[in-house]
Amino acid sequence: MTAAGNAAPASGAADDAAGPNGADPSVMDGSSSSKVTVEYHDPSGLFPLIQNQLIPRLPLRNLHWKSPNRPLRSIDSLHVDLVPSTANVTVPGLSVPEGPSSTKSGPTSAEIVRPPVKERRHQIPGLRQTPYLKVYLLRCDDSETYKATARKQLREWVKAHTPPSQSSSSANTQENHDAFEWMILHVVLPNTPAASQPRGSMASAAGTGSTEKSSTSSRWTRGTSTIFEKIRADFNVASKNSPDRVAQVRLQKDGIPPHMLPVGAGSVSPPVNETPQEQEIIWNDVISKFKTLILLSFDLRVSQYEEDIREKDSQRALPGWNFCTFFILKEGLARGFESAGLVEDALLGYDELSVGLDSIIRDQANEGSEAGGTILNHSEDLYQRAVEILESSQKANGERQEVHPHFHDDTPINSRKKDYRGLILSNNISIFDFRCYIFARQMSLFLRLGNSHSARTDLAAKLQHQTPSGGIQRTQDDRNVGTGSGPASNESEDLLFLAELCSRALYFITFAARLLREDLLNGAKAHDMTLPERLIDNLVSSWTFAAAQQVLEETSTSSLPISKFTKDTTTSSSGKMRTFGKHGEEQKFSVAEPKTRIHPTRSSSLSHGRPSLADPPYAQPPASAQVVFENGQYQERLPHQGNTSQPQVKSGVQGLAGNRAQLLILERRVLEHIGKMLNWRIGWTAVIAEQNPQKEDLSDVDLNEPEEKSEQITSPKEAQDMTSSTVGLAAAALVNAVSSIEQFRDSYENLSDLIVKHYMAAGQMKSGESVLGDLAALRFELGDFAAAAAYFGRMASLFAESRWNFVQMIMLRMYAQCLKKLNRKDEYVRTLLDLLAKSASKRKSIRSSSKQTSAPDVSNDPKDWLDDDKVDTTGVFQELINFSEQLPYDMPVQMTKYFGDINVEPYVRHFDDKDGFQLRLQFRHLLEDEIEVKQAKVRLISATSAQGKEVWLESSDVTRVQTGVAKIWLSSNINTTGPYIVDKIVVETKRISFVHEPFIKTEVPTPLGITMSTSAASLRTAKKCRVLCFPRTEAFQARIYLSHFIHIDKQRSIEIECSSGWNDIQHAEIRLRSASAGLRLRTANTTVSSGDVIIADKPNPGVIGIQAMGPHTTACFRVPYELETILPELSIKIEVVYFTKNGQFQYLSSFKIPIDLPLDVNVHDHFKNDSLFSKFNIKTANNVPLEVLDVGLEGYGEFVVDAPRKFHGPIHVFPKQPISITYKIRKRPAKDPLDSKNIQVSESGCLALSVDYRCTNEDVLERVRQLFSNAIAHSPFSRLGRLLEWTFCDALEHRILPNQWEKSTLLDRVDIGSFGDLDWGECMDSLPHSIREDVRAWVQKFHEDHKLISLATCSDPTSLISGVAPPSPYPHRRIIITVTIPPTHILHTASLSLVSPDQPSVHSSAIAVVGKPLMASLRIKHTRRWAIPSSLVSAARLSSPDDPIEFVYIIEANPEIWLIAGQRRGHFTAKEDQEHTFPMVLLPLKSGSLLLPTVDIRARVKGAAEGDKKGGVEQLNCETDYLGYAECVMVVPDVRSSTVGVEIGGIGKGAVVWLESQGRGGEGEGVEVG
Amino acid sequence: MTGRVPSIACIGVIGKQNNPLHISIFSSPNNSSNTTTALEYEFLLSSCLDIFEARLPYKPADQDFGLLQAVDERLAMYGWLTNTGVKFVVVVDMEGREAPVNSKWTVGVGLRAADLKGVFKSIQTAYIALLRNPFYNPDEHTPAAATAEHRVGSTQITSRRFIQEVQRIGESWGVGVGSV
Repeated sequence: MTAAGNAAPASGAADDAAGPNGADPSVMDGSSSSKVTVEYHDPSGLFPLIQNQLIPRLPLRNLHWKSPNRPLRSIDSLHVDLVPSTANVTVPGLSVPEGPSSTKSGPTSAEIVRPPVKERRHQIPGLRQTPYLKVYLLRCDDSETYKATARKQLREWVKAHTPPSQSSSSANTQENHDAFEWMILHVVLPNTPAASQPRGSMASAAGTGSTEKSSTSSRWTRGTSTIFEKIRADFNVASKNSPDRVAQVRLQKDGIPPHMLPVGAGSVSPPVNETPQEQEIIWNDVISKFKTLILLSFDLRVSQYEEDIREKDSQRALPGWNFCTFFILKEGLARGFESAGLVEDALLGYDELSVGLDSIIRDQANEGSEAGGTILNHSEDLYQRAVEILESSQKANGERQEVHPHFHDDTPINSRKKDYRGLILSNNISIFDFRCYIFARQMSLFLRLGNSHSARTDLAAKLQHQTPSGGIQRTQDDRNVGTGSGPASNESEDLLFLAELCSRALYFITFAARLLREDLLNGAKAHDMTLPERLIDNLVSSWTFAAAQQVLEETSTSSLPISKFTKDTTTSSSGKMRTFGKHGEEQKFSVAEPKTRIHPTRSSSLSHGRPSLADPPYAQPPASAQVVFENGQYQERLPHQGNTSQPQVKSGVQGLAGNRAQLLILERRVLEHIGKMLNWRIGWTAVIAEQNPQKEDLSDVDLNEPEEKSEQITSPKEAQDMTSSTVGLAAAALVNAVSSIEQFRDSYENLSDLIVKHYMAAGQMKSGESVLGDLAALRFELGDFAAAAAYFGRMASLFAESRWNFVQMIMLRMYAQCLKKLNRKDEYVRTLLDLLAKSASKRKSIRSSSKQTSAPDVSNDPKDWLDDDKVDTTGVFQELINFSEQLPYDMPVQMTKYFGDINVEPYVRHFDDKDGFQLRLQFRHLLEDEIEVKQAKVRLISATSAQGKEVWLESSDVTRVQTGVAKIWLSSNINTTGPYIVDKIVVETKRISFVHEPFIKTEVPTPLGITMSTSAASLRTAKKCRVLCFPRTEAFQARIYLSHFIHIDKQRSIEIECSSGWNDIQHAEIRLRSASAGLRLRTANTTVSSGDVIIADKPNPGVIGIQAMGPHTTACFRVPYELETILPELSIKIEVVYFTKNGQFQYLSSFKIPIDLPLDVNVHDHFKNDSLFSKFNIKTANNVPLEVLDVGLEGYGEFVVDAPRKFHGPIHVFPKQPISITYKIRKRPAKDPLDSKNIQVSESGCLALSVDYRCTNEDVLERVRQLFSNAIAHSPFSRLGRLLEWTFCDALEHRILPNQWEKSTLLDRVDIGSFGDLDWGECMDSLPHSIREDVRAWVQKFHEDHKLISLATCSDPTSLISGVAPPSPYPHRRIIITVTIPPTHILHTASLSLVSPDQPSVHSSAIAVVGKPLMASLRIKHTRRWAIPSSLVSAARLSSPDDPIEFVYIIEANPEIWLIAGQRRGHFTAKEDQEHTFPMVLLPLKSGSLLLPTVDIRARVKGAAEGDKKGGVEQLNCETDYLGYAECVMVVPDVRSSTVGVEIGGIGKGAVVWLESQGRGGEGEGVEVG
Repeated sequence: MTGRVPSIACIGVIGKQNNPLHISIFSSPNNSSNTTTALEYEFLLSSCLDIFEARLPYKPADQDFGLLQAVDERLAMYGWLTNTGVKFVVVVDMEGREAPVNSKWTVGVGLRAADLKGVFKSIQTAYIALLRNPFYNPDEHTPAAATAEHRVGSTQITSRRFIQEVQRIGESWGVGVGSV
């Protein structure tokens, strides 16, 4: 009925849209917008009159549709397409405005044929553009007319248009597909009788039912009914359920053209004036009736479709079931949904159909059946076109200017490009077309859902079309219609849908590309010919590109500013094919809604296209610091894109950007592919091809070559090649790109640039980076090394972070090349080093893995496994070393990164003819290149002392190192003993020195200051790196010890004993360094104590230069020292540099010398009148027994010493057993007082005590050492003598001996313990394996033989008795201690002699009686013999030494014991040798053995008080030698006999009664006790 | 190009910290294994990680991420994420190998994500077998661990058995092969 009419406006709309919007002329199927058709029957030509009122009220809003098996759907807005019915009658004279029915132009090429649809529609109940609602526009000016004509007309119309469904609900299902509703709209013109009919009823009629009733009743009372009511009564079905189908509108007079007004209308009663409000209500009523009725018919149609689909679906298994038919049916439903604005439902429908198609094809493929209808495997038209292209290209013969037939246009995905539906219906569609169609439909739906600008403009254009191009309404329309569904929805494009579209498109396009290829191949096969593969390839590529481009353009949105940019670039790159009109339109569009953007468009240079090469994105600083977009949002988010704090934005914009980027990637790959066909390589391909040309199996093509070719069109063959290679390309951008390699690169760059921006916007940094990589490779290819370097450098580290080694390697390699080109030497070298480190580490791991498994397996690795570490660095090392010469400085690098198994063999090797030693450095060279090692060095540091001198070992000459284990002997001229640690290994090449420090001190100070223990690994290395150094037995040796002779009052000294060994020393230099604080070595006063050596000079403190020293000589030097503080021991480092004819050597050692004296000497003096007794006690000072060989006291000057008898042999002094020796010292009688006076003054009375002794510890140790060294000298290991001896002594000294000093001294033997007791382990470990066991056996044997070593001294020192230690080779020690005679001025010899004691015998003591007086006399003898006269004079303040001095004597006695009668204190003056006697009486008070009272004598010095005050004056020293000190008196009671009576019986039983006693005097004394 | 069926072009196992654990590239006549290809695949795998990341919030309950990205006409990447964050990526070449004689594959059918489920399950099985090896410590195969130990090399898996298993999986898969 109305099909033609329907089609016409739709196509017209499309064409109109194509006008201003050239980019996407027919993206949208004209019928696909959410629009329902409403047909109006307008016999009176009223439509133009109501149009102005009606259109603004459209689209319909807020429709709610509820179907039984679906949730409630809301349709926000529904556009209404008002279409005149075909039976429209226009009233003559009425100027019908240019209506939608008039077509402006013919059908476009895409608009193929509609008629078939019409013809076959009875068969295919597909989508109908049939009206959902038919409206009769009734003009009935008065009731008469109504009765006469209008009613009849209406009846006929209603009859004709009543859908059968309304009479019988489901009689004819076919018709339900076109179900529609009808409605009568009474248009009341002003100035007609109808207009003057009452308004009130009208107003209320629009209201609720109740008021309507009342109003009608009132009308009935009046007897007149309005026309409106009559119509209602006539046509509304009485049923409650049925809708109201009658409405009335009144028109205002001013809106009506005059010729429409009925003539003479004025005669009628005045019209009822309506307020605008009332009018609004009326119109609302009309609209709501529209909505109700449209939904009604929609519901009817949907249920009908669904029923049909169910039925068809159930027949699926039946033979003859045709998918195509089913498709059309189901699509009909989908389209129905779509037109009702239920786009999601429509999309769902298509999705189901797509899956259906899949399964059909799959079934057919699997079973080979034709079930479900045939689907062609090729499209005839595509084939035809391909053939055309082929022919024309052959004809054209390479002239590119000719316009080729195009395989596709800019929008390959278009549901209206072909009559797909027709093809489907005729079962004549290919898979490719089928899929294209479905996707095209889906795409349009997505675009609608996504509210993309293209969908909107399309819709807007379409709707715009309905409005007459009148003046005033135009703006109104623009506002309401042009913005589609209102400002609110216009603002937000639903980016999620766009993103989804992109992702689907990506899948579809790649899939369809394969289909297309298959299609073309099959097409050719069907025609028994073959199309050139190249052509097919190009066609497919071109199609792919164009399709991707189309989707990209459709989904460009202002929310994603770069998507707009897409167009700019593509336009600029393919400007020829595009009109600027479209561009302009695009601009306008984006400017039109600045406020609606979520993100403002960028204001950066990007929007006007990047200035060609000025700032490529990768040349900018790294992402962390980079402002990718100047828009604030991006700035903040991009650096930490992992943060999903903005999921909303991410989901939308980022998703879209990401998916678009993938589409762009697809485009770029197509481009690359085509480029490859042309032998144009780009990006990595090109760069890597250039890198290793020999490895590419494709012939390497110079990049400039194709360019030349394209210029040389003179050669027809080549030209033809060129054309044929590009023939079939239709996508504008592609055609443009392949025009020349510059263009190609340009397009590639533009695309990549875009991709990067998209990825950045999507927050997909990794993907973005990899594309940046391509760009950088391109830059590199073009020679812009600076930009490329910046990128590569950053990239390498980025990929290194997550260990993408392979990529990193390539990046590094590129980076290195760039750097080299840029002449950034330092970085270049570093990069190469990085590269090598990778390579080396790989090789290391291979080695370690091959160690685990059997070696040959390495080659059996699966070959396609992309070993991430596999790096080919052949030549790089060589390059590095050679290049390093250009470096201005040496560059130290870590050795472990490049070499494996670095290791210093801890076995010392000695030279055969000189001092010093060698160690072997061993490392594995992992890389391919042979390198030249200039020098290898190893630094040893002392393991024990922190300040020990470093020992450097160096290789002698240049070594060439090849892959594999390299062994280099390093030698040193240093002669030292002790454990050392390999601290540093340096392998020097030209300018690069590889440094390895095996023992890394990993002491990490914690905040609390606790140092962490070193890790187990480093300890292990420490052990491994220990080298026990020792010199040859014949080597130079030095020893420092405390001088054996000590004079206690003189400067002490150390002695240095140097033995030259086999060295014929020309000259040498001894450097001494004090390692103890406060020790000063007076090297300037060095003397040669023994040996035939001449000290040449002493240039500096601490340095002694000596002259020649023959071989096997020994020399001793004595160096005095001073101490600032008292130290128990001295640490001295000695370094002897000696020169022989073999060169310079160095002896290093450090000594700790104990300087505590091992003995203590006490002296006790006792003065007698004419002699002095001194007792010397000699003790050990440190618990070590001493062996005292001799003691002597030298008399001196006026003193004569009387020594006791000499003792035989040595005496041992034990800690608990000191020895004491007493000497008697007399004063030589002064012959000449003057002489003696002189001597006295000068010497002040000093004697020297000399003690010769040995310390047992030294002695034993020395003797045992001697024994051991003798033993070793006669063993086969004499050359290890120094080492073994050193170890042996060290262990003995510190571990074995200290606890047995006393024992060994007493027993004369020493227990050196077993082999296990001495710590031989370390020493043995330091020996090479070859001799280790032998040595161990020997040492064990020694221990077994010498467990106990006798220390017995044998008479003959030369004879060696096994098991007896030879006597110490060193002399005993001797110490001289000066002994001063204490200064005594005056000595009194006092004695208290009893005058009349009973003395039974000479030896017994005197007897006294208690209480009886005892006569005694005190005798005091005075002498000044011991005094030095001068000091006596000053102390006693005498005028001459012979002057008498006044003294006081005091007898001190315990008053309870002695009663002293007589002068207890007495004064006397005395002169030399004067003797005084004082009588006195003593009375003992107690019985017993009583000591006599003591006597104390003091001098009374004149003016002593003054002297004290003055101070500093020597006190007069007055000693008393009291002879009676120990004298006892036996005191007995004065009783001779006593009588005691014992009472027997009586009271006091047993009481003893003392009766009497008789005194010594003879007379008894009776005392009666009661 | 008729008569070609999809095959696996590359299998990548990527660790939790986005470090490559293993990459196997399966050569086909058109796809000779050389540096360029390797680089290309590495870039592809690396870009995949972005997609994993982007999709993670909408992650299906399953571990299967399905189609990650259709790279071009031929290559498509499919992803799988284990619970421990290890990612498996399979790159399928739609025209990877010559069709077997009785192949029912046609281009029109296309490949479904479900077709690859078996592959992923097998890879996962192989990976689990690897984890059960007491000498394989997954923590050692992380960049963090490598950095801590000053290792320069990659963190890839070197277990020969695992590599061979992946090889076997990659080579034996084809359309319609349920489990490999």
